[in-house]
Amino acid sequence: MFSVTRSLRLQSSALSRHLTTVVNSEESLTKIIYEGMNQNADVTVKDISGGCGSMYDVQVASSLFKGMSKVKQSRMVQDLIKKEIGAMHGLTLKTKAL
Amino acid sequence: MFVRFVALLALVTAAASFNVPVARFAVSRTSLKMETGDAGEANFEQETPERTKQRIQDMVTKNPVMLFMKGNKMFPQCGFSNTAVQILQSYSIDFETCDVLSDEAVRNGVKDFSNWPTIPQLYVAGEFIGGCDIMIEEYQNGNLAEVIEKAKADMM
Repeated sequence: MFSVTRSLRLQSSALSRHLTTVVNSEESLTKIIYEGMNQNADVTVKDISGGCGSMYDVQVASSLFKGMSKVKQSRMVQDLIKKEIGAMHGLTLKTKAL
Repeated sequence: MFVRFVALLALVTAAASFNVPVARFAVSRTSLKMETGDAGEANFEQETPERTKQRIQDMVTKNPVMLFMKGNKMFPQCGFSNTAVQILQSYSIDFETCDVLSDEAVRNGVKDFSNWPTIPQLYVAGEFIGGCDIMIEEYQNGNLAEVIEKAKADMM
């Protein structure tokens, strides 16, 4: 009995090492964007999927956006969270130049 | 012996005429999508990424206002796509749409083509304008109207 549960636990940890799933959260997304923009941004990330972590509203305001087109501003943020977006069902993204 | 053969032939023919699947060796044209490769050989593969890219390029070139969305104008299948359609309809212009839900190749391909991770995606005069969020903002500040007016003028 003891050995069965131990071997199961070992198997599941080995399995989890092979499966790299992205788990998003408001905190993790905020951190990635904030750090990615050299801490020069006001970042607000809200889970709008009722806590499911599948849809987010992201708002970023930064002086780094100055002179950039809207598309370029959005692309800058999207590139930072490319992998994370892959794990989402959708997101709204608003950027603003300061 | 010969009689038996004729009898068997008659049986198979009769069965075939009654649509009984006795000996279906023929592959109907509708069941397999056959494409000919460059050398004229038949290949049963899916559309290549290059071909998809070409299709997308054609769509954005041939249509002054092109929207890649989920669903279509009559029945948008997503809130963001619906908003995009509403905005475009407010300008009373002709615009084309592509339903990515019924075109998996374009659904993935357009994300690479535009280097943009979400749907809907708007192209005006072959230029990528953005997704729903950008459309809303540009609609509110009047920039989108400008871009569309220019495309409309070029269309004439």
